[in-house]
Amino acid sequence: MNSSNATVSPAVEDVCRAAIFEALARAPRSTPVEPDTLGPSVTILETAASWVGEAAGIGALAARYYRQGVGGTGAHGDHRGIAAARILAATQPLELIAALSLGGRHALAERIRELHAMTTDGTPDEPLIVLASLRELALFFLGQRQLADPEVGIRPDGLLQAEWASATGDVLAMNFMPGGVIQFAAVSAGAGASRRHRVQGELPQEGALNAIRPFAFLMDPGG
Amino acid sequence: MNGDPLPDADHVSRYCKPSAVASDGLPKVAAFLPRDDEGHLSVNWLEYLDCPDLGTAVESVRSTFQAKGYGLRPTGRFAVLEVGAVKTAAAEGLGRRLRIHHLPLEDDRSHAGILGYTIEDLAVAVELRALVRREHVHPAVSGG
Repeated sequence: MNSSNATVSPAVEDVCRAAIFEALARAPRSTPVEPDTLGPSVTILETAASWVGEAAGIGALAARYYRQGVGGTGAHGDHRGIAAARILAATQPLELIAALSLGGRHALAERIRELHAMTTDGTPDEPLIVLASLRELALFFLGQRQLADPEVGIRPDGLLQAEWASATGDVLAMNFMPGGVIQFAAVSAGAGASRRHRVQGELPQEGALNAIRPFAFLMDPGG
Repeated sequence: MNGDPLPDADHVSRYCKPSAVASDGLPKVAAFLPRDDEGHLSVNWLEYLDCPDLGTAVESVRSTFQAKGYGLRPTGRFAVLEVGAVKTAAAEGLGRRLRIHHLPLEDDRSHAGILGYTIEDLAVAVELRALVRREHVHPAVSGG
């Protein structure tokens, strides 16, 4: 990466670098070397190639999220940069949840930890959390500190949903799809079904946030 | 009869697993998303059970679940929805035509399904969740 690139904050490189180091540090454990059938040099090259591929993917993700405001090592007096790096590099839900907590979203992390426990305790029909969806959700809330902690639901296919509901019948849900797209839907309370206000769609994260802005009262602390 | 539509004035209950129950004890939106492999949202037709009131009918559904070996959890919930309200909310709010039909099973005679949407229809699930008030929610386990 080139630190003189004017389109990328220098700090994004710190996150990318940290995330890649995190990934590489665990690579020998997460990428077991297969029995050597073609010779040691081929095996080593294949293993190294998988590490590089993993690191490149992480770098791209980090750049995308940092542009959306996830970063902040030091500048905000917190650990968001380190947390983002660990979220990007995590290979297990609990590891990722711990990173979210490190980034300051303790209550949200605890809710997801409880959800994870429920989905792994043998309860019938509970799907397992899709790690890529959890990663998207965690990075989103790491960057959007102004949003109140949502309830977190899990779809039958394992994708995660953040949702808020008011006592008067307003409901907003955001489904975190792998690849950075959010599917969203909201309905506000009204005197009748036809008088309710609604919004729904599927957009990249920033666009989704803008689309549901009229429902922000559900997401703002004290809203 | 198998496949018959339910009367609008009748009610269905939806079992919400612990992971689909929010910290305030109300169902999450995810509780109203059907599984891809089912093609409908599984519910139970409460009036079919011919009980004196809805609470007693939910108790009967509990017994059915337990009899067929489905592990109800204390932190699970049953949410009760009115058939007509479900259809109206989807039609007027989203222009969607949902159908609620009796789909009896060998070991669950009141089983029914909400048809006409899939796991990708988040807006429908949001509409259903918005219909639920605290008084419509029953513990999954007596005393739960």
